[in-house]
Amino acid sequence: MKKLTLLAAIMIGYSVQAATPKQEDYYKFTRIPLPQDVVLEAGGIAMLPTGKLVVSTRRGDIYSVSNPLGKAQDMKVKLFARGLHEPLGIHWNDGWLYATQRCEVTRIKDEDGDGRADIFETVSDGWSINGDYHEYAFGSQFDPDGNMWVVLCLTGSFSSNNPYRGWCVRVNKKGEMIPTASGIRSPGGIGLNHLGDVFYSDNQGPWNGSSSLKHLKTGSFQSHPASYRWWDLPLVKKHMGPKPPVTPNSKSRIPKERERVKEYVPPACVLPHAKLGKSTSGFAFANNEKFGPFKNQLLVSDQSLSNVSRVILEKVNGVYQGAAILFMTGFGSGNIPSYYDSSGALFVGGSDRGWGARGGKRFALDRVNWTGKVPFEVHEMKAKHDGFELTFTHEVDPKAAGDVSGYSMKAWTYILQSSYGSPEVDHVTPKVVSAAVAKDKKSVRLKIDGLVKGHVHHLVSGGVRSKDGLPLLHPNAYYTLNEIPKK
Amino acid sequence: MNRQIFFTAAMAGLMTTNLLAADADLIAKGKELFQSKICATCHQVSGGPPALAGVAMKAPEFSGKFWDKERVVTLGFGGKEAKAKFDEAYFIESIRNPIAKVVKSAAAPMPPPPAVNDDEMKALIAYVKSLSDGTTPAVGGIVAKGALKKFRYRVYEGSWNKLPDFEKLKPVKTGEADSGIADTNFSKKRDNFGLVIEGELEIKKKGKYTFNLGSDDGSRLLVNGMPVVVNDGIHGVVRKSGSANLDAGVSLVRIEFFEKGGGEHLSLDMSGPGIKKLQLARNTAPQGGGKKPAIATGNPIIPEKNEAVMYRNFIQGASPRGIGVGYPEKLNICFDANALNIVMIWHGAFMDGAKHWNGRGQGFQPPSGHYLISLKRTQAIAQLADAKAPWPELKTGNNDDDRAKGLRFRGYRLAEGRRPIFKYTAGGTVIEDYVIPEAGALPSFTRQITLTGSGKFYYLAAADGSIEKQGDSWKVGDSLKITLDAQEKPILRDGAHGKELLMPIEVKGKTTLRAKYEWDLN
Repeated sequence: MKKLTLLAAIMIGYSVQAATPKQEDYYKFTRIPLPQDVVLEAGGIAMLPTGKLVVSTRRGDIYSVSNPLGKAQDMKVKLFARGLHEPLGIHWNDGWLYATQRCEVTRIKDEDGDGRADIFETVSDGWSINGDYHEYAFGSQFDPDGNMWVVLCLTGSFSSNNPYRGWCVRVNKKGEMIPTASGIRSPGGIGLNHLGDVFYSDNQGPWNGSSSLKHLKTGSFQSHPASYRWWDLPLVKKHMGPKPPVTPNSKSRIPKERERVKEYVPPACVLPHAKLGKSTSGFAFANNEKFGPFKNQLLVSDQSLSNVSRVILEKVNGVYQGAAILFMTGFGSGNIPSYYDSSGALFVGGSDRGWGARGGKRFALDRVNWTGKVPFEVHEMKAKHDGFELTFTHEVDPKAAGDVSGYSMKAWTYILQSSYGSPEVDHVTPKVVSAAVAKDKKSVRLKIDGLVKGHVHHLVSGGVRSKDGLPLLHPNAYYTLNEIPKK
Repeated sequence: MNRQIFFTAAMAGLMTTNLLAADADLIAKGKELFQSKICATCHQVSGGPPALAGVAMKAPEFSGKFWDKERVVTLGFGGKEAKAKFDEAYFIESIRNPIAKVVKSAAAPMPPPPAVNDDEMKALIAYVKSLSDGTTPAVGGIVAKGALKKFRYRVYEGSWNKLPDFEKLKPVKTGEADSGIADTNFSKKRDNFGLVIEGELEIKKKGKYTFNLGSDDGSRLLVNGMPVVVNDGIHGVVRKSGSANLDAGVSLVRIEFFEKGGGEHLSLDMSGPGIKKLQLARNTAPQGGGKKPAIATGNPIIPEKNEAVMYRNFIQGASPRGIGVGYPEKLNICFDANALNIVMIWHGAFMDGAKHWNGRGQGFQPPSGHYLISLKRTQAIAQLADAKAPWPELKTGNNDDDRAKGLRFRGYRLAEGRRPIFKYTAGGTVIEDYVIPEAGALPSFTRQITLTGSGKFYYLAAADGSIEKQGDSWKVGDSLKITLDAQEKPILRDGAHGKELLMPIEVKGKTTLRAKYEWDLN
């Protein structure tokens, strides 16, 4: 009898392995059908109270999609507004659609109700532009204090040729602009987490070894010192103090420069270059359980690889840090904005113009819905003083999850430097010395020798199996260990 | 008939060159000038990029046989009808003084192009003349006869990563060309197309011949049905060579080529017994690989029905905060959200998005149409200490982001027909700036500015080297006429850079001023 059970278990194991789970089992993609004359190079996505989705485009249009939560064949895409300057970030607030254009924050309204916008009010045009293609501006939704956060790309990669290039500013509804953080390089998206803290993505380049997601604190410095140039502006002095932060040394490392530059906020989560992406862009998060058990985790897009990763953050010693785990691939074009509708739909739009993307389409808008089936994934990854704790979306097979040989770890960091990007450097191989599965079989505590502060810790949980014998859908996790927790 | 009898004394300088024997270099230079002197924006040439601005103007095309042909013209725009023969003299006169003889079918006279000197004129003549059927340009160079005889080509459209089997596909265009040199310009599309070019090559001596084939993207050369050079796949300019033993007599040459996106290149030359280097293929297409056209085209932005269309982007001639408005009346303006003023006005085609909608979109795009008038890039409304105080200046470099003094931009709302009413404020006074266009052969507009608030303001109606009173109106510079509808007497004064025409406005509650802007080409 015992033997039979074992045999049955082996057979189940085999049959499961024969049908390896795929993303499609858990998440269903719907590509929004577009009329032939619509070029939807998405730059921003918002939902109107009417139930229409609006999408701003790099060409400067805003389109509305009716029935966006329904069947693809029932959707209708219509022009809502034209003639904006590359709006990247649109948000509905207080009866207005707020759009961040290259040149200003504008609020837009369809006053006569004919489905086309007719009022375009300039809220703030306090920053400067000079005609460089690189001077993108990304705007967030309003924070709990009524401020929109706007990140302003440098003039090209290396310099800040006009006021506030390389800055984060806040814009309030009165139209005041408040300089908020310096050191921005080339953003790809901005938004708030469920606590109202603001994050933006910055792309690999000077002073950025890899693309990453960064926490925008008031008064913070985000790594690229070109923005210091504007410290003489009275408005900067008023809000940021009399002097810029200390200039970071090039050819250094982030933990070292954090000691010198007290305003330096390290990347909350690195999305390692060429591993998870090449151009981190927008993000959204599910504010409920209708998108699987990933409530409040940041769903961060990449433009080049047309994918979305989960970024699971925690605060250690007052600093945000956490893990990035690939979540979904196969989006149509180069992902830029995303929007989560609380009915359980994630919209991701994009364009590959100018940079190219794996998706292959020039532009696309995809909707993702959860099928109701929970994939076997690392649910959360938390840093401990001597290792990490992993929780899982399903109960694990305690034998497999408790076996240290089922895990491997590598860690590295990047050179902090004024030249473009960085290779992975300072490689180490921390050793997983024990793996203790919790009583509820939903988590495992890994003791690890050789954690390095500031390094990206790449954990491969290749040996872990669910109680049904399934491997993890995504066994690779990349944890940015800015701080090692105290005991 | 000797066309030179039409030459006037002023044109005698051009007579020294015998244009019938124009060399290829001159034609090539003329082709470049045709772009840079903006002829190409209106005058369609066969195989060239679409000349969109010319569509609205009904500008004559340079295709088929036109050289030496008679055409109906009017003497002056809308004047007496006459006949004119298209020859050098007519061509030169049309450039130097476009209003003298206007093609009757045109919707508007040709705007004076940028100055053309005599050498440039020779090149332009050589090029335009070469476009006409029935002319026989010299051997060698850009429109010369090549070595390929019985020359046939087929154009295909599609997106491939390597050469398809063209024989299984349907061409979108086929033709014979007497140029004798294979050219990617046979395709009107610059991306996602394929070409098959076949011709006969006369081989005088038996022997081994080497072929160099360069392309972006893939290509293949077959001689007498056998592959000689295979240069397939998606790539930048890659050159490969191969050789074949050929007998004396006729050899069949077949070139297959495809272009997916981005740069574009095709070149083929051969060498062998008695042949040092013979060019068999080239690309004279205006985009990719080599030279870019002077003005990016391909995404015209066109007002719909009775609605205005707006284009907010980097517009050449304005600050980085230019807002173009194209009206269905064929009148276009560029409002500058820095100057808070209309800084350019023009007729015909509005804007083309091609520069900003392709690739990363670097640079400033000029207006598409014609009769462009640039107005002074400074603010329209100011509060001055007195009528003698200098008008506020703005830095006006291409990349300057200098703002109007004492004013703040507030956006715009769209009135009937999506026509914007721009809004800006001076302290508590709200200023609404609205353009009311009027259609016609030479469209015009009335600028209506409403100020709500209080205080003494001035409107800068014009600033130019010359402003003269002309009846009830003002002649500004060479081609603008302004008529003011003012409550107070306008002030003409000397400013820092010429004359300034000011309208004083006393604002108490709501005050509206109007100024009519007309093109005056006489």
